[in-house]
Amino acid sequence: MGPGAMYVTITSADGHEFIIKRKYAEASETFEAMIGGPSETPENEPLRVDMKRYQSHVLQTVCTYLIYKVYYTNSTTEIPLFPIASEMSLELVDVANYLNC
Amino acid sequence: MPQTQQIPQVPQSDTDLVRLAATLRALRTSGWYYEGLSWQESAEALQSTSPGTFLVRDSSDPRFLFSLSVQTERGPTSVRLHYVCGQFRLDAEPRLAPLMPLFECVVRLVEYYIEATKDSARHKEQVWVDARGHMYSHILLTTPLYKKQQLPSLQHLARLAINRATSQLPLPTLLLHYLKEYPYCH
Repeated sequence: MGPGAMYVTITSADGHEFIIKRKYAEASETFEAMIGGPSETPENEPLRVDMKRYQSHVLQTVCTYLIYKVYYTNSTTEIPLFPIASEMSLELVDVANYLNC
Repeated sequence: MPQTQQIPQVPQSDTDLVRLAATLRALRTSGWYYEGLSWQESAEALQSTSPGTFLVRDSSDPRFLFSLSVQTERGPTSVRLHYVCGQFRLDAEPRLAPLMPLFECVVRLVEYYIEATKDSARHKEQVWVDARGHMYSHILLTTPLYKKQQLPSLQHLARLAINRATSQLPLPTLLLHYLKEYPYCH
């Protein structure tokens, strides 16, 4: 909750909310900077990140990638390829550039 | 009368420097180039992977720059990459060496053999041989072994997806070659 919250809520242009663990969100340098600084969020509120420039189908892939990255970094199991649909690749390169991930 | 200008020839060593720097830059971006990894360490890294999984590392033989290590059905193996007259090729028996495809960049070389793996006719033609010249297995390159400490960024993965989509445009090969001849925007 608040600055010490365990979860982060990410909102998309089309009104969807994605709730992911803070440790996954922080795999993006931009998210880390957005939630790591001084927060106006009250202590009893979850952290919120406004991503209203981007649609939910793109943000869903971003969230899955962040979890993939944290889960498989230094893992001892074989790392599967992260699938990206070609029709989403242009939007993804844009959002990934913004999020620095 | 117009004067003919002598165009200075770029010394071979400068060409090599530019080409090697470009290859090193591409390899370091790839996520599957393991600098300083030994043959034993590469065999260990590939041990539990599926056949066709590969990585590129520095060659432990000082006469060569790079080696391609790959998991086969008979376990991990490595092949040296030769750098000849500004181009790379796989190690081969001396009588076959002049016939080996040459590439300006190691990443291009790897992509060529990945594509050859997908083509069933070409796949049957290309084999690894052991030190005695006996067939070891067919060449099978499918999946890069990304470094576990530094997984590829989403930006890079999206870039690969864009490049793949461009190369798969439903166009005749000649037209695709035409597009790739000038891959810029201005």
